[in-house]
Amino acid sequence: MSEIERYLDELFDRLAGQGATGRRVLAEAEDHLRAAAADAMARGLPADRCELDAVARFGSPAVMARKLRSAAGGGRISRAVSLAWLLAGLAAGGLGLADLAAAGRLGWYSPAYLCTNFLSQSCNSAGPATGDTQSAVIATAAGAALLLGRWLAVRYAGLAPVRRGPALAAGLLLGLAAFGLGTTGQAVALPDSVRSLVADVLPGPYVTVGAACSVGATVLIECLAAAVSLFGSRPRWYLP
Amino acid sequence: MPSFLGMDLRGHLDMLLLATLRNAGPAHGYAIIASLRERSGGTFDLPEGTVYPALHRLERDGLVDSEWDASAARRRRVYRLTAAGASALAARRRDWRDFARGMQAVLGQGVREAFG
Repeated sequence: MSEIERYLDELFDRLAGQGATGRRVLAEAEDHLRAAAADAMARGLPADRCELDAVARFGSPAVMARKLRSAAGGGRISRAVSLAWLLAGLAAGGLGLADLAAAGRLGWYSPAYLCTNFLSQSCNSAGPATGDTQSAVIATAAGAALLLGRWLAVRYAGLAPVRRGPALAAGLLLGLAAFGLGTTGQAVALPDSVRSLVADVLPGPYVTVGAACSVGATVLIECLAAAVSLFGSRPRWYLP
Repeated sequence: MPSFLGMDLRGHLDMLLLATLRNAGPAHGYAIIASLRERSGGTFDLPEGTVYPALHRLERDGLVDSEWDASAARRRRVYRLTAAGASALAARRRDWRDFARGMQAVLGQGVREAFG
């Protein structure tokens, strides 16, 4: 494998997830490197030396990819907006789905709990449980709309994608938030067995401990996700 | 960021690229770098790692435009100055002339004082 091909492979790896921008950068880089090497060869230099010089002038693939990504996507602000958008969509959708699952579980025992047409007047008079279902449906729809809108923005409007790490952190965040809410008796999505297990493990002040654990872990993970997204040095996996 | 005799080129790179595109006409990245190097007598031999991100940023800001040229043996991205880019270049040239005039006045006076 030639030096130019090795360089292009690494640049391709660094530009993963950039879509049309990455493809364009790669094509431009290949044209430039081959033109530079051909010019040097025309001056009588050996081929391997020409490729080495061309690659050396082009600079580190990591630095090049970072600069180009920043230039094309608006840099850190765009990635921060993208990450916040992703987290909001995941949070809304995840919490909505969890509550829907809880409503479905309760509805199994009491079908009257569910309201299939929550916009009708009869639903409003069906009691507070119906209100929970409405909130869950609205939260799920809002989450789906946020994620779809963000996907379109990344695909067609040049919004920067974010690394996979923050999305995984968001999933963990949701789990911890549910754990904390469960210990305070607020998360109906948690099975009774889990809630009673938490109560057994953390008798007495478990409510305070659970809430503090949830809030602390949530803040920590959000900070870590933001830091990884904005300052990570080896972007490899991206989510659109 | 490249430097010339210790002077930072940050802030001047955009002007240099816009001026090169105005002088050389539509050109691909390799030709832009070569033209800049030749027109400056080798003073501005800028690394690609600086030029390409700057070109992409200028395009994002609407000061240059680009399209693929398939007429060559390899597909090439050709950049050209936009009307907004030409206006921006004219404004920066005015600023640069004022800056250079002021610097010359101060430095010239200093040189006269130092060497009689």
